[in-house]
Formats: sequence, structure tokens, C-alpha cells
Amino acid sequence: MDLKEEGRWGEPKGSSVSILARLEGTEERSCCLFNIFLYLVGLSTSPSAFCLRRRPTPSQTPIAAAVQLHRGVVRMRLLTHNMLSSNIKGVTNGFPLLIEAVKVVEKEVDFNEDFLKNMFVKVEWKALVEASRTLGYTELPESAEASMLDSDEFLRKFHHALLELHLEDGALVCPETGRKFPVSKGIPNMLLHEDEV
Amino acid sequence: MWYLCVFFHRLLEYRKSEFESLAGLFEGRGGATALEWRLPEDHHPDSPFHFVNLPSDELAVSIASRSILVKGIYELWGEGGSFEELEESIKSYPDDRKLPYISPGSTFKITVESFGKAISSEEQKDRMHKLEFISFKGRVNLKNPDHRFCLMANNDYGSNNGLPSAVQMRMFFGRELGGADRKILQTYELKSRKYLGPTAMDAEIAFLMANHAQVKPGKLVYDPFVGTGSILVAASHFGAMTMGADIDIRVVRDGRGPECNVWSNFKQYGLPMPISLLRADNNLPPWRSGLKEIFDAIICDPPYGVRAGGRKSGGRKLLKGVIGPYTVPDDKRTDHIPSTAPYSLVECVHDLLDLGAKMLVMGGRLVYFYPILRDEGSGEPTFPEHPCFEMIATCEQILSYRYSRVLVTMVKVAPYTEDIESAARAQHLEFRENHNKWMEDGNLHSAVFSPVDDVNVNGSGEKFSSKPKYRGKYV
Repeated sequence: MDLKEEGRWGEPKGSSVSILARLEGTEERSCCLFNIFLYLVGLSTSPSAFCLRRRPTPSQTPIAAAVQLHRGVVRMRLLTHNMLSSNIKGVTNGFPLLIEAVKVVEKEVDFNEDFLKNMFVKVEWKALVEASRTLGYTELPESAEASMLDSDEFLRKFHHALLELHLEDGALVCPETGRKFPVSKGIPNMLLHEDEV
Repeated sequence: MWYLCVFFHRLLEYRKSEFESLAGLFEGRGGATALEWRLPEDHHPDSPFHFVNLPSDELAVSIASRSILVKGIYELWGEGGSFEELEESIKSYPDDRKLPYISPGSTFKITVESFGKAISSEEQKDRMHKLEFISFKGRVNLKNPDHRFCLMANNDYGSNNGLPSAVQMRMFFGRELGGADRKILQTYELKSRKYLGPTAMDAEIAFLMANHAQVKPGKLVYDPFVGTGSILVAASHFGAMTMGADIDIRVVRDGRGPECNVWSNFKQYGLPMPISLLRADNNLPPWRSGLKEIFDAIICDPPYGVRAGGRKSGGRKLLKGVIGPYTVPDDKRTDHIPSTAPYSLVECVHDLLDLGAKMLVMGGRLVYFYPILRDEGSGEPTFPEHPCFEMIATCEQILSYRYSRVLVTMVKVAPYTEDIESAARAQHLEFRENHNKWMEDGNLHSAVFSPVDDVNVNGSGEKFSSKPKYRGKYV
């Protein structure tokens, strides 16, 4: 079984370090470690063969099912999404880009209050709210103003939406032309085709 | 108060500007910080010994411990051209300044150093014993002393061995406040870096760039030519949030596998990952139109076309523009790999300044390398200018006989107005329409790699022998 085809690990075979890193803290750790051991010595074809409990339950939404706690690698965050637009020649309204999410991950990031306060005035709030909803996070209020920055609860939510939700695979779609800017391995490819320049 | 600042004898032009940038960083000033400097008697400006006027000990300690090129900052207790003069000078230094550091119960260490000549350990001991007239009451602790003292001398080395022309011997004795932590250079040295490219930035220079850019925790730093991320690694070490873009998707996305890519370079040192890496063209940046003043610093090493050439979008269309615009067939649109055209240095720097003018916060810094040809006849080199920026420092590093690179530090002093924006747009179109003309002008590659005879008009081969003996900027 190819790990990549299975779509749950997202990285080619053999990256045992990152697999270990991601499993830290889950209750299936020892079970998985055993499987990884079998996998490494060649007795099993997949490190996850017996980790049935990690599969998403049917009650979860497709997006929520794809969201997983991810400790290894960082991908495209909503702060980046909030800064980007479609710059195709002739497009007047290329912001905000719509998000087509194939794979979303969550990652804990160190909380920096000053940075959040700096970013708050630069961020297009509405675009951030919509983007976080597309990724399955609905906690952000519809509108926000600077006085809310005094609330720790609000800052935590803002922090989570801005920095901890990561699009790993999918696309950013130009709202005017429908042109897709692919996001693969968390890297948005914003390069234009020759006739879009 | 005046302090004695002793620099490492390398990257000579970078030393004072690094120091002044850090002074600005710790005093919370973004603009140019001009400190008062003074040279010891008879000293060459490239000497490692300088006096600098700083408002407080705390500032001196902060600068020294953050810097890369400060060997030590000292509270000077005495100086002189001979031991007798030195002793006289130390004795006349006020006791209330000295007593707290030589009191019983404290520990101390004295080092003896000399610049320009190695001295044997016997001579070191001999010189140390001559200091016995200072009544040190504390105990010696070589490993972890409370107070460090240093007896320094620049020797009368006479012959020119690549150092500034000989000066008279001068001795300094002072209490050390702090010095650069050069151990980080070993930690971050490129040979142990997992993912490297052909133009990865040397760790020492990358840290110097971060210091010139006044990087500190909570700041957002952007590198539009991120490559393997070597500049952002240094910025991240100092606590900045980082962001990088590159036009080559293989470098930013794939690297050399899951454990050897830009992300892994951060992971290797336990640094926080960049906020984002993206594939974008500096010539047509994908930032939304209302976005401005978001980065605190932009640090980069633009492609000059010598070791690596820049690329920009619109390849076939630009190259074949005469015949008719190039259109991508509709069925090939997905998975189409756009071709790119070469990107001239002039245009690249124009785009960089425009990006900085728009995206930097007021007082934010733009730090980048700019190549210059070392043609002796051409006089003083000229550097790019922009109405939004004030030039703070230019530090040359000689790379080869033909060219050197200059670290340019600029600070944003004026807001990005609509007039500036439309002028930049007009210039952008000019570059696009006259693509081939701009590519020919200022082609650094041919100037750097042309055969010797083309450059040497007289054909006498004198150029190489006329190289000055004093190495100056080579160190």
C-alpha cells in the first residue's frame, strides 16, 4: 500500500521521523510505534495497518475529517491567504481568493500577542472569517474591532484562525476568472501563465 | 560615556554599521543612528580599536552580545604607548570606578591579547604581572569569573602583512562588558546545513544582514528570493516571523525530499517555521491591492546574473512578442508550466525598491546585496535611490578581482504615495516593452567573466600586479 495514495500521511514512504513526530501524544502511540517497527523491519507493508481507530468516523464532515493535528510540517496559513490576490492582467477584483480545500491540517503555533495586534490592523477581517469557515472553523465573530483585542479569548481564536489552520493541498481560486492557483505541499503557486501577464 | 570597542579584523566596512544598527534597535529607533566614534592616537581607520560614545553600560552590553563583529566592548581603565604610560593612566582612573570590580569576594580573569603579532605565553604572563600595581582583592576564576579584564596591545609589527600600515605600539587595559557570541556561527555553519543551494548565504553574513535589518521578536521579515531560506534562518534565530517567496517551485516546495527542504532547515535548529513560503514572481507580486506596510524588514540577496540569474514571468510572450502574443491553449491550461524570461538586475532592483516602499512599515528596513564592478576608472559606485528610502549604510565585500558585492541598508522614511506608484507602473511597462535592451545593458555576467585581454586595454598585464598590497576589504 502506498502511503501517499492512502492520503493520510501526505508524505512519501520512509519518513519515519515525521510519522513519529506526528503521532506524539495520541493514545495509539505505542500501537503505532509497534507497527512502525514492523514496517521498518519489513514485516508489514504499512505503518498504519493496525491503527484503525485513527480513521475518521462517518459522523464527521468531510473537511473536519481531513483536519488532523499535525506537528511535523507547516503549510499555507490563512494570514498568507489574506495577503494574496489574483494578479492576472485585467482582473480588477482578485481578492479574496476562494479556497478549494483538499487537505487541511492544524498545527500548534507559539502565541505572540504583539504580533497578533500588529497583524489585526492589516488583515481583511471578512476574508479571514470566510476563509476560516471554508476550512471548517466557525468560531470567529462576523465583525471585529480593535477593542476586542483586550479579550484573551478573542486573541486565541484570532491566533488559531490566522496561524494554526493550514491548507496543505487544494487550490486558491480567482473570484473573477475562476483560474485556479494550485496549493501543493502547502506552497501556493502564484506564477502566472504567459498570456495572463 | 566613551567605551573602547574592539572589533574582529574582518568584514571591515560592516563593523560600524552593524554596531550602529544594533544601537538603533535597542534604543527603538528605525532611522539612521550616528554614534560618535574616535580613533586611538595614530591609528588607521581599519584598526580594530575604536572608541565609541554610548549613553549607558546596558546599551553597550546589549549591542556587544547581539553583534557578530564586536570582539569586546570595554570600560577603558587606562591606555598608553608604553607600560609606564599605561600604569600612570590606570592609576589616575578614578578609584570609585575601579573599586567595585576588584573588591574581595569577587572573582576575576585577565586576558592578554595583541593585534598583529602573536605573543608567547611567557610574555603574556610577564605582561600580566606588570599589572600587579592594581590591587586586585578578589580571587582568580578562569572559567566563570564575575569580572573580565583585558590587556590589549596593537604591536609595532612593521612589515605590511595585510594589516593597516604600521602604527606605534599602544596598550589598552579595560573591563569587559561583553562580546559577540560567535558560537552561533558554528551552530549555523553551512557545511552542517541539510538543504543547500549554490547561492546559500553564508551564516556570518546572514546574521550581519539580520542585524542591519534590526530583526527582533514579533517582527515580520520577508525575503522575495528565499531559495533555501538561509537568510530567513538567521532572522528566525533572532525571533522574527518569516515569510519567503521564490520563482523556482522546485526549491521552495520540493527541496531534496521530505527531510531535506526549506522547512527542514528551520527544523534542524529548532526554529519556528516560516509563516509562509510561496512561489511568486518578484516582478508581478501577488499581494492584494490594499495591502501595504506589513513587513518590518525585507532582507534578500537578489540574483545578479553572475552565479545565478533572475527569472520573471511572461517568457514566451516577451521573447516572441514581435510575432504575436502567446496564448496557452485551453485544454493545456491545467498543469501548464509557464515559461520564464531572464530578469535584468536593474529591473529586479527597481521591483525590490518598489516592493519595499509599499510593503515596509515606516522606519522598516530594506537590506540587500548589490553587485558592483571593480573597474578602477569608474570612480565612486552609484547605488539605487528611491524617494521613500534613505540610505543608511553601504558595506563592500570583495568577491573577485572583477566585482564585489555591497550590502545596502535602507530605511523607509516617506509613505508610498499614488504618484510614486504610478511612476513605478510606468517604469514596469518600460522594462516590459524594451526587454531586450534592458537585458543587454549592465550585463554583469559578461563583465565578470570576460577574458582578461578585453578588460586590459594596454595588454601589458599590469592590472593584476597593480593590486594593492594592503588587503583592506578582503578580510
